[in-house]
Amino acid sequence: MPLPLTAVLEGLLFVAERPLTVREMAQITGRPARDVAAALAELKAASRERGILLQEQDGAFLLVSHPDAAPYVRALLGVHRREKLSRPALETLAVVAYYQPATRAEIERVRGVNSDHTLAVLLNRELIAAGERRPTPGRPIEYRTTFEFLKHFGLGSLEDLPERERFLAALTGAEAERDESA
Amino acid sequence: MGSPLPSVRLAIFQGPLDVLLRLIQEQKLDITELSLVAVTRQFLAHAQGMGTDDGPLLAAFLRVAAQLMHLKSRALLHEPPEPEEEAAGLLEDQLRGYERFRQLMTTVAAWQDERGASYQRTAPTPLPEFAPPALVGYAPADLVGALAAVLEEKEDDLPTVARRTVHIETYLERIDALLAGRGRTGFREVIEPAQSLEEIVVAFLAVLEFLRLGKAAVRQDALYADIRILPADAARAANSSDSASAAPPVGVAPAVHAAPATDQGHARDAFARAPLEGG
Repeated sequence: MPLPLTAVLEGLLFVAERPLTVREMAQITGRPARDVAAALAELKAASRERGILLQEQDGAFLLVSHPDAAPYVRALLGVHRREKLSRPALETLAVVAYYQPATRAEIERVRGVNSDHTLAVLLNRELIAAGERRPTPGRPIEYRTTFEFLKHFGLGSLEDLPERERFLAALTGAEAERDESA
Repeated sequence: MGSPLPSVRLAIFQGPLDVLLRLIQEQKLDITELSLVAVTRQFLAHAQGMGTDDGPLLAAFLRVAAQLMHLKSRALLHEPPEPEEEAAGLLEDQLRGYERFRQLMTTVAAWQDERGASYQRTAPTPLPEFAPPALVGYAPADLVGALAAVLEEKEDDLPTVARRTVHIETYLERIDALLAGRGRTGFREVIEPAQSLEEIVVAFLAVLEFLRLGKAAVRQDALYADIRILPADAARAANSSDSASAAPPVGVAPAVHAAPATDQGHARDAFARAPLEGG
């Protein structure tokens, strides 16, 4: 009896030490990407009752421990406490997370303060990553959050960001101003 | 606009909007152009009180200060020169946006405290696949069969390994024979037939036994050099014929200690003779 695709994918994700893309998993299993995506959705729904969490970003998937199991996993790993971000770093990270892709100017506009240092801190901790350059004057670098970010906050995906609507409203409000001024 | 100057705590502010928002909130005002003008003086006082070590931050403060000054100058005139609302609207909206953002940041800050993190499995680097062809096609049952076959083997088939025993007498006789044959010998020659470290130790004990009995004298010229073994009477003759330079009669100890000694002179003098029985 062949193993169901969901179970096969679970096995792959369990062993992988990096996020796997749908395309990769389709290639390995020899199944259409559509089937793989459906099986992953099934796996994600099923993992809700378990000690694991299936994280997803940009079509890539990573299997991690459930955030509620964090105290126990920390005990296992010998990590006493989670390293916490400073308030400025957290602010900058929040702007990138909700607004992404975000440029330095956009971050500074929301925060009203120079954010070079905090950006460097976040890049260094790999909570955000520098992406492509935006094809606008100055060709600014676009920043996005990483899987490390999802892990830090125990999120399944960016859609799980708390109070996403409120944040987006606050941030797009700022964007509307910018469009006016432009 | 002659409101009392609020005490400003520098350390907790992060940027000009932060300061501005705090000033407005402290006076329980809403964010309007008018309230911006109302706190201009306090804001300027704050900017003046800042250190100049953080250039970009100071520039951000100065920019907001300039916007505030612009707003205030217009408020002081009875008729504004022209309805250029953008500067006022810009700062006001930015401040509103920042206010909303600050409220939400409280959520995010708490969120970092309350939510647990997720941890990734750290798989070891996979080893290259190694599967000898012979292993393919075996089932766990075959493993059980193999174990049963091993257990069935008769235990008495096992050969016993005899332990080679060495007696000190063997070496006493050997040294005796070597001394009798050539009148002298060396430790290396003595241990030629030795097959183990244990046997060499026994051989050395035999040499010590010769010294104890006064039947031989030993001499080692340098560290790790061969230990020369002479009959006791021959050594005594050599000693008395060259009494001026020879060391006084010494016992076993210096001979044994000669090995670790690196001093050439000492090694040369370490001509050991067995203590003569009865003087």
